Amino acid sequence: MGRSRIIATVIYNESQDDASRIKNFLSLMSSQAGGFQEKASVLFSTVHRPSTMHNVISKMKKNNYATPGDWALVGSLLALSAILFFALPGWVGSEGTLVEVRRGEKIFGRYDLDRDRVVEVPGPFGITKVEIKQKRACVTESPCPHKYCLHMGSVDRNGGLVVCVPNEVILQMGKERPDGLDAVSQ
Amino acid sequence: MTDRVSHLARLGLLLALATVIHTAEAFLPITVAWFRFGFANIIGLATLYLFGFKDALLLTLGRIFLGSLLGGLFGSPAFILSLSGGVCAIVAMGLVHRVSGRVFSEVGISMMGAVFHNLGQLAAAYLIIIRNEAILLLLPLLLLAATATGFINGLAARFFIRHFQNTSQTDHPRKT
Repeated sequence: MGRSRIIATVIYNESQDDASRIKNFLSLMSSQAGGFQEKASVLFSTVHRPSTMHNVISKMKKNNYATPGDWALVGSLLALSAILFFALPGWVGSEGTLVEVRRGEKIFGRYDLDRDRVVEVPGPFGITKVEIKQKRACVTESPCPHKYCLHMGSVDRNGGLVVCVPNEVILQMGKERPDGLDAVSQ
Repeated sequence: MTDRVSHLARLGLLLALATVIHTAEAFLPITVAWFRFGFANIIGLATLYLFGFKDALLLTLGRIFLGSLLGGLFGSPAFILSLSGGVCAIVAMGLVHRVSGRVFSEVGISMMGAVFHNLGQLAAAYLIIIRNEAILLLLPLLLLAATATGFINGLAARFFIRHFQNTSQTDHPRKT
């Protein structure tokens, strides 16, 4: 019997360690298989073929696609937008002084925010209680089925809005423009 | 003399390319009103690197005028926003490019441009079009979008610049 020969090509993706581990395994197998005969010789060739993702990353590193300064800029911009996302709503808009309560089409009343009070607004479902406390306005009790108006929280800035659709009650902060429009685009 | 002519021709090609990108981008089916990729800025950035600030400013202005004429938006609020954003972006990119040295690559400069494009637009929108503080609430979203699009455009600009330089070297043997 002549020498049997195993030809193996090991293709490795990430590191040469994987390739050598496979090599060892294969030579172990071949030595056991050919134990009572002559030892099989194994010819190995290794080919480095990086995976696509690895390829992209190593290319990016090699070509220096982005400098450390670039990454720092990315980080600071992301951080800035996250901070602004949470902080801006508190800054934007001037503090309201007046809350307007509407019932359906009609204005039920305008109330100064400086004085705490509870206003009872009758609607088709019953009485909605509007509370003005510490310069904030909110709905505290409502007969409507879903109670979305309670979950809308309280408003303290001009433009703020709490609406109860079923009971037709609307709280709006601030004065309207004299022409009754929200904004004008020219 | 030939240098000046070829320079002018190249600038004209870049302007045509930028205008086409600017116009074609309007056809992308994006439903978010304030969001744009700003691909045309790739050419603006490339011009900044290849020919300097003056030419880049000229190209951006030309691109915005021609693009809005093509899109039928000349003189509309969209044109004002486009103009203010574009000028802000190119000025910011020019300044950062000059000052920062090697701290930022094209990617960083492009992100700066995208951010200042949005800031300029927002400022113009607030001062000229809608005097409503509520639009400032868009700022964090705009910054986020600018970071992403700026990064992508920066990479694209780098490829563009390299390719442009390579072709310039092979196609244009200097004979004097």
